[in-house]
Amino acid sequence: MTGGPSAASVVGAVISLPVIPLGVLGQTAIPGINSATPDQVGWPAYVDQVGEVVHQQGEEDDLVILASNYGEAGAIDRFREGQLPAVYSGHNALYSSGPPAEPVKAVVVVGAMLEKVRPYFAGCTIARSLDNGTDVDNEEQGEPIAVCTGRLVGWNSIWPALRHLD
Amino acid sequence: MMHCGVWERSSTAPRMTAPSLGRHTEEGFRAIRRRRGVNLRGGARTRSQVGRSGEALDNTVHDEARQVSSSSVGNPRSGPRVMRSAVPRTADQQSHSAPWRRSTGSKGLAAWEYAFGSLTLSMGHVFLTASVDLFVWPAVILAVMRALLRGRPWWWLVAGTIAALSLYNKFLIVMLLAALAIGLLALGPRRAVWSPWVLGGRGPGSCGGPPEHHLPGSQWMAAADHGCCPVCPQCRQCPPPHVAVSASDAGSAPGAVLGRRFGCPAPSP
Repeated sequence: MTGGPSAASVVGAVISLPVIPLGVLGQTAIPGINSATPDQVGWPAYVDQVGEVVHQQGEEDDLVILASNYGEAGAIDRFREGQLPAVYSGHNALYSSGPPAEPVKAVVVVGAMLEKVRPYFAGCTIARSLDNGTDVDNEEQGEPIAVCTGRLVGWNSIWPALRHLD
Repeated sequence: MMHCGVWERSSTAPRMTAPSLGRHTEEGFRAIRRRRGVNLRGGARTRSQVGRSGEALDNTVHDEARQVSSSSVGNPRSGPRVMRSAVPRTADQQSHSAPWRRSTGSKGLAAWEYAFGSLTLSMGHVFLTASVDLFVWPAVILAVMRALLRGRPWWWLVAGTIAALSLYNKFLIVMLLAALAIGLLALGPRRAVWSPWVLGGRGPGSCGGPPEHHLPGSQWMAAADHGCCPVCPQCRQCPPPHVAVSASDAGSAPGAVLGRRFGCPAPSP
């Protein structure tokens, strides 16, 4: 009688809880079954990499970070510890926090949003790609970190184009 | 769950082989209806007559059913124990002689599977809007079950309040309410859908806001379009879109950060 539920619980725990060691998680089928598991991997590393790119820009005062989704925006906000500029995103409710201030002419773009941002700047350069170092494929793995400079139009024209509800 | 288990032992229903609450309840009621002619209690009848006319009969039956169940556990609120003596003991004896056959096993299995299912663990581990629904959905279902199965219609108000509050978190509860309504319309008791208590349960869902924004959720969405949120006191005076939110990190206190996230005006640096 208890064998059934116990087996089901073990399967549920393996799929849903972080019980598989990070080193081998990428070789299992779990990231393909439950996207919530791989999405818990690599955030401090991603934020470190964003930080590297930001600091390579020197003492640029009016530089902000544009994140593609609330996961990236939340992680950057959580782990930046005062070392990184403010982060903005057009994802869901973050859109209503509004765009960066008007003096901001350059941004560090994180993730797949880059192609939507690119037309509004004189130039965008991909600095590196996000890598969690654990071979676990998630929504962020391999996505670009880019620097876009020379904003061409006002933020109020750009911001609606970056909005997405999903 | 406890209620049902107690009831089972004191009713004339044969031993349950499946956790079929509806059948179980119906048989309990039928047994009571059979005895109503000889065992009508004044208290229950008086109470039901006070209530809505259309529900009088059902309320009487529900009240008596509750007395049957509560008297067997010595509930101090229960009335005279006339009903109990009229209940044959066969079901009781059977369930004691074969406890593993009681439906509590099925209920335990269902509870276990809900608690340790993959989705429950996943949503419980990662705090998402869906995590809140893990509590909200069973809570609404519990309230509706109490309203329908125990004849306590004020639980509709509880269900409505929980559902309305959860709309601030997620809209998916609307699907549960629709499913419940379809179930009631298809299988009954259809009268429940039109009872004043059910209509009253919709009240909490339409609290506050201008007339065109009756639901909290739509109020939220409309407010979000204006760059503010309805839970902020400042919402009544929306800031000009986006200008109140500065790129500076002046408001880095947790409340201010949350406020900034939801588009509330940032505190001045």
